[in-house]
Amino acid sequence: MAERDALGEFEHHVLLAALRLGDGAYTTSIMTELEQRTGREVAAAAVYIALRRMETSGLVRSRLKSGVELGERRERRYIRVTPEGVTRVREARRRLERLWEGLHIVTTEG
Amino acid sequence: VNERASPRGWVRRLLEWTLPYEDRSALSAEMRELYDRRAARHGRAAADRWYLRQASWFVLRLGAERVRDLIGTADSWRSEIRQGARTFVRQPGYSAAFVVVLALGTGGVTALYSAAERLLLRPVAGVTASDELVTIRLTSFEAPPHVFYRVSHPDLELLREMLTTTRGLAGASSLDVHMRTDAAGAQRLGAEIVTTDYFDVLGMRLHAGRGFGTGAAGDGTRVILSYRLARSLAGEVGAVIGRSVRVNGREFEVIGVAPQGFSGADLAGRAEMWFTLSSLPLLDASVAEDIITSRYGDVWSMLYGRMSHGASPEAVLANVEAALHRIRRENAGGWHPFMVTHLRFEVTPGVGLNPGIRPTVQRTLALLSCAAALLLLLSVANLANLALTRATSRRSATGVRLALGSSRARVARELWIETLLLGSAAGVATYALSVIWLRVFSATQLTAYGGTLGGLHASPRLIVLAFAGAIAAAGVAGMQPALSAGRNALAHALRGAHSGDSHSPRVRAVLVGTQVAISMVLVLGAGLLGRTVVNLRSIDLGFEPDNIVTFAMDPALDGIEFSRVEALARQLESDFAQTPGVHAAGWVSPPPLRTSYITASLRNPADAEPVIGAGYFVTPGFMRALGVRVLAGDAAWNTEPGTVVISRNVAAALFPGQPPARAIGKPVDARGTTLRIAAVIEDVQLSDITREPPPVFLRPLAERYEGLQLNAFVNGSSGLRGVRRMLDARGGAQPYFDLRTARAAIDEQFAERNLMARVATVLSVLGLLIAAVGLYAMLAYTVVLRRHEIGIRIALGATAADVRLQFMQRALVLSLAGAIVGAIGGLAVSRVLRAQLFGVEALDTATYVGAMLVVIVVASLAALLPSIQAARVPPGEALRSD
Repeated sequence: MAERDALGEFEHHVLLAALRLGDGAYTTSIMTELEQRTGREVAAAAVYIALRRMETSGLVRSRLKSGVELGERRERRYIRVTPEGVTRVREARRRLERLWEGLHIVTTEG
Repeated sequence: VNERASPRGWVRRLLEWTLPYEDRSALSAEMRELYDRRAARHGRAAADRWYLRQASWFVLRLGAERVRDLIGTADSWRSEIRQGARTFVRQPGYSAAFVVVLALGTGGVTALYSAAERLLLRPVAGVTASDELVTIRLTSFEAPPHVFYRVSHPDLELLREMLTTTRGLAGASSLDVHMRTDAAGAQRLGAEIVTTDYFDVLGMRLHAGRGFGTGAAGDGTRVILSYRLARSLAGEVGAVIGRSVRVNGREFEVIGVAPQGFSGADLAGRAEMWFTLSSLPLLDASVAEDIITSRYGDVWSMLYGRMSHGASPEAVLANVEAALHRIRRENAGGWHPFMVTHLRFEVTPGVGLNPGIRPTVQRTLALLSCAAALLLLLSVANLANLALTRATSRRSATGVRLALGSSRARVARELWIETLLLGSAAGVATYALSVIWLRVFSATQLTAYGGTLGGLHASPRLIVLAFAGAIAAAGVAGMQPALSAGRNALAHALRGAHSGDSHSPRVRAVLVGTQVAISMVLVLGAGLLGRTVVNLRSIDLGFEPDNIVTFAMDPALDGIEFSRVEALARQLESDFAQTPGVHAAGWVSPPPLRTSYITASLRNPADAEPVIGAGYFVTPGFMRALGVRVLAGDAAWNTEPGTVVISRNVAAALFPGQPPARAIGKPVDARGTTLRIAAVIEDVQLSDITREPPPVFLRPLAERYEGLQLNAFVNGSSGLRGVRRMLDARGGAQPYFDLRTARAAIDEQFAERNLMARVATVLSVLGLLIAAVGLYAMLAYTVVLRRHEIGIRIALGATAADVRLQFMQRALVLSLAGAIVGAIGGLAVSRVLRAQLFGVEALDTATYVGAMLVVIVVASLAALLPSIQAARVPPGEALRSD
């Protein structure tokens, strides 16, 4: 397989948040999850665009659920991480781990 | 249900407007939910701020994303260009129509822009720091702009001394000369007499050689040649320096070559040689030796000044006006009283097209550009329609592609690329077309007083302009379909091809109506100008100019002494008279058929006041060649010395209340000389045809006091070619020039109106054609779209005539509406044209009605075929096609 782009930091975060939320992942829930875990305000636009891009490259899949299915009056676009997406998150983690290896000064002080 | 707080309306709308259609409701609902939560926790104000921040991010990030999508990657561009090129080849009809219509629209505009650039915007070749230059002319308060007066050399020196606002002041004056070479025989060329500092004031470095030096009037035996002339004389330009050239029978030493492309500071000029004032008596035997020192020697027609630092043209004007006071005082004794009271200086910034004809050229080009811009607008409307039709017909395919995951941006991009490819192809066609336009009109004189488009050629700038114009116009035409590409296309694809096309018929109708309206405006303009030209051509001149061929000779410039000129003229006259096809031939001087004439006067010895009119000196054949009716006296007048022939209005003024016959043989006084009236002829217009014929006096050529140009009138069926053959058979002893029919010479008096009428006619025919094609295409397409409906109508009993009528009606309503809108637009056009019209009112009812009829007839013809096709729809097939 040809060399593919490494996952960007923000996309990495979004994928992790989506995996955490499982069936309840959609744009604003991912955004809220990220805000709670990182303690910083996140732009919904950034999440939305990251999801759209990852959908184009096959890392996530989305499905629009109407109010009827949800039992309420709204519709939502639910996100599911594809196996390809999961592989990419793993790769990203491994890359980070390799970078962290042997950096005792930082880890011990932290 | 608890009442929900809500973000401010406009922010919400901003967000919703930004969001992509498919996610709009889902995302905005989600965002509102979050807003509610925030409002509950942090208060409404904080939630509003948060929402505004979020919405702004959406605007920025999605905007950037959309731009990224539109630009695409290099790879996607390559594939899309390939794709576009394929469609281009696969649909040659569409592509060809697009390219041709676009090129027709842009060709005219680019050609006119080049003309304007050449005559009005381009700096004069070789001139440096032209913003420091001013052009100064002596004109009068009442005279039209092309009338000018000359400044004598002592007056120029006085000006130089008095002007504090200029660092240098050069004079120039144009004349024609005859140059004789062994290789080419005699040639008539444009030349200028200039002051020795002429090239310095213009800030010009000669291409080769040196200038005239600094002497007051220069060495009279030296000449500077144009680059073009130097090249034609010697292959290598520099080699011409030091050589001697024979001009007007005298030898001159070439001391310099002007910069390439320079033909005088006046862009309407065509000077190939420059002499100093000391050369003038050598070139023209009638000019006195003391021309340099004489206060009354009329020499300089144009003055060019280089301003001192910080001076403005206004300051120069104030300066020259003060100087004029002194010139008036010092010249008071010698000047005609009219000149003392009526002359003024005119100061124009820069150098370039002669200020005398500049306004006319500007007006002409501006009007033509407006017409060309209208045609461009018309063709863009046509193309927009074409692109729209095509996008609609491809809607299903687009829908399928969107369903398969193509982004809308990509589809839009493809449409644009396709249009731009067509635009580039049209760029080539535009270029070709504008070159043709320029060729056709390059010899055309723009005004009665000179200024041609000649010398225009394909410049790199023109190529850039043609491409930029065509691509921009294509981009505009393709915008609507590209922007709306894929909007609702999915649903459309699912519903079926021929339904749901709800709003583009209206857009299409408006586009077609616009085309009809614009072509109506063009037809109106062409109609008014065409009638003007027809009116100008049907003025009764007292003679019939269509059978007369005229040409000019300048024997004095060929070194022929004036005493021999008359004999030469008579010799030529009898040569011509013996030529088959020639009815009569004769000579006249000064040149007739121009807007101006040289005044002469005759006085009844019993009266105090003379009759002032136009004086011409002629040979015996002239009256016969002119074909003017002789009312009384000697019809075969042989130009006996001391005789004069007068026109009917002269006789009426000299001898009021008496019949013309009573004037014959009567003595009259011509500024001290007593003449006897030999004949009275019908009033005849040999000058400005838009005016009443002036009093005309014909006197024997032998009594002409100086050797000037002679004009031959050859009346007969031999035509231009016959006369040219005869002249060429004589050999190149004396060059002839201005060979044309008398009609063509007269037409030159209203050159700009003639040009405008011709261009407007061409543009209106093209406009009508494009609009007709547009109407045809729209109806034909509607027929295809409505096949089903028509089929049902026919199945339900509608006759073919009903169906035809339905479509014809639609076409007529549309074209009538367009024509009415066009007529209203035409009111504005006729206001602008008013000054150009002759013998026809700007709001001439006949022209308006005629133009409307033309437009509607053309529209009906265009609608005929689709209507017939509609009526032929077989009901069964139409029903099956669903």
